Amino acid sequence: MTEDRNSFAEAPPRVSIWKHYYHAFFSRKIVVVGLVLILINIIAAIFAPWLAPYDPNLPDPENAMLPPSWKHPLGTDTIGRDYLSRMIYGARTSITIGLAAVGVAAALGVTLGLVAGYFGGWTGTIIMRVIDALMAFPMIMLILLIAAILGQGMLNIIVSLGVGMMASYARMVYGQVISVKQNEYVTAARVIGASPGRIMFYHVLPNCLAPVIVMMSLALGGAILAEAGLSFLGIGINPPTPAWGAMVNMGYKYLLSDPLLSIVPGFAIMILVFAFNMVGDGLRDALDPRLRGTL
Amino acid sequence: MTAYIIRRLFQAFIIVVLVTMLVFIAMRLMPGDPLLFYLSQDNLTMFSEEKLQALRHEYGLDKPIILQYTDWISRMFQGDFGISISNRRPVLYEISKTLPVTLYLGVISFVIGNILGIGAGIICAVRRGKVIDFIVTTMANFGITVPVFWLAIVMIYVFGLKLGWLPTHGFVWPTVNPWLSFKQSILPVICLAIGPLGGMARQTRSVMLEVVRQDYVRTAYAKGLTENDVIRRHVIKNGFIPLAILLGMGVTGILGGSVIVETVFNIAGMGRLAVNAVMGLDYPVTQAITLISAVMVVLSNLIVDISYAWLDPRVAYS
Repeated sequence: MTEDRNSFAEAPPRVSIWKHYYHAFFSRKIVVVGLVLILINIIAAIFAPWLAPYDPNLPDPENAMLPPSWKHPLGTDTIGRDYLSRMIYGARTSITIGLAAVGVAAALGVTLGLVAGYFGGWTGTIIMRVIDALMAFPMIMLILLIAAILGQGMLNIIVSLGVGMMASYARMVYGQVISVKQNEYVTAARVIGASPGRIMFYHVLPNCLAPVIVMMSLALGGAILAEAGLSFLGIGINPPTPAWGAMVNMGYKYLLSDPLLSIVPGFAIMILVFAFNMVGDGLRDALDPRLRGTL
Repeated sequence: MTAYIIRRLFQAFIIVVLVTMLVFIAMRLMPGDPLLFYLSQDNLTMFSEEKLQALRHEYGLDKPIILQYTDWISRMFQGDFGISISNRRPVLYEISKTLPVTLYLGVISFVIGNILGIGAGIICAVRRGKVIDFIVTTMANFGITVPVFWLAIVMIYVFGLKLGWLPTHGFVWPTVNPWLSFKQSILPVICLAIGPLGGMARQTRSVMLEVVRQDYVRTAYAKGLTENDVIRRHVIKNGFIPLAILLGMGVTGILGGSVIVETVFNIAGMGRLAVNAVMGLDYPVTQAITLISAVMVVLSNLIVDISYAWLDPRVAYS
């Protein structure tokens, strides 16, 4: 029996594709660290009402600008709101806007890239030239411009970020579609009379998806950073809803007397963005090693 | 090569035309009366309805939208970008005052960020897996992760308020006061350069790692060249070509970064002007700045593409 087994020892072990992804993803410790940090933030975001010791928006002027203590682990802000509670709710803002904005960007960009690549011709040219024009704007300028048209508020910020970031998805999917649509299974689908919509979404799209997922995961950090930048500039969700960027800005005025007000939320932004970037890198290495270093 | 340059120039022209259309549409979508482009709010309330109609006619706002667009373009070619709503000065004057400041800080940051970034990336690639690789890669990740406004505030706190070494805000030209100008520029330049530096270091590292695997590098080693010669003559020369394309993106990053950095350091540049214009619903200024920055990006991409074709002649033929 043992000899039989040895004779097969030369053959490579069969590893399922999922196991391969799993190992490639978890092989770097830093990716695991990133994943844990993201989970902590997601838990904080979901369970904010139970985790936060106080109402994040309830002012208490008598207890304003308190230093950290057992009662208020991160102290209180200028109008006496508990800073830890505001930090916990701030995670909710950052993650919600980050995820939704990337979702909007991917949905718009992928659809445009798919249509442009599949139909080609004038449709494709017009769509892709408009995408080129969008890419000419520095992203924050484009987002500022859209935010100026739409006004403030969470939904408008999500749409501004989404439209501002969609161009790179469109360009990438366009390139993918051009090559995927040459395949025989696409011709076959057309021969049996499938509609363009069906071919695009059932046959072409699934074969372009891996780089889209990688790009989305890498863009999350950027989206959170952009939202923080906007809310720092005062163009963000409406106060008093806590947003980390706006909290850094508010603390800036009291930098000399209470530097923690600015430093704590900024540090949280950095950690969350770092975590998303690390997980994005890990996902890229696992799903599509060819993209390493290119996205 | 000439055919390639002509083709690229034509493409850039089309993109600029589309950019102007997008900005024009965006401005028409803004809430409020387009007459505000030319008059201040107070002026607008003073006029009677007939007078407003006459003004509309005078400014061509009763014409078809296509003619309005061509009018707008021709006015811009004559240097007429309208009047700022917030301070009633010509927009062109505001831009001519602020753009040089942004360009001055931007160019310094661009050069420093890219040179240091490429250098750091090469060191990482050559010493792959060593301690120095780990340290530099971690710092590069910090560079693309840190919120610039927060880094600015932390540096203001440490170097400005606590140690008192550097001024916390403001800008003067080196021709006015060279020493103060130098000190005032240090923190903004670090903030503007940190992103491109981190991004460039990461990209250079991966591009160089790709190059050192090539056969010609092994051949170079095999024929007995020293490591220095191999890196200088074979690795860097070949690795630089894909990096050139990234330089164009750096321009976008620095223009975008100026929006936040100039706001934090209270520098009267185009970035801060953009924020104030958007916040104050100053449409003519917003319009001019978005247009100018987009045209600058298109031009820098054009330069990058042409130099790319010059560095690697295969590009022009594909």
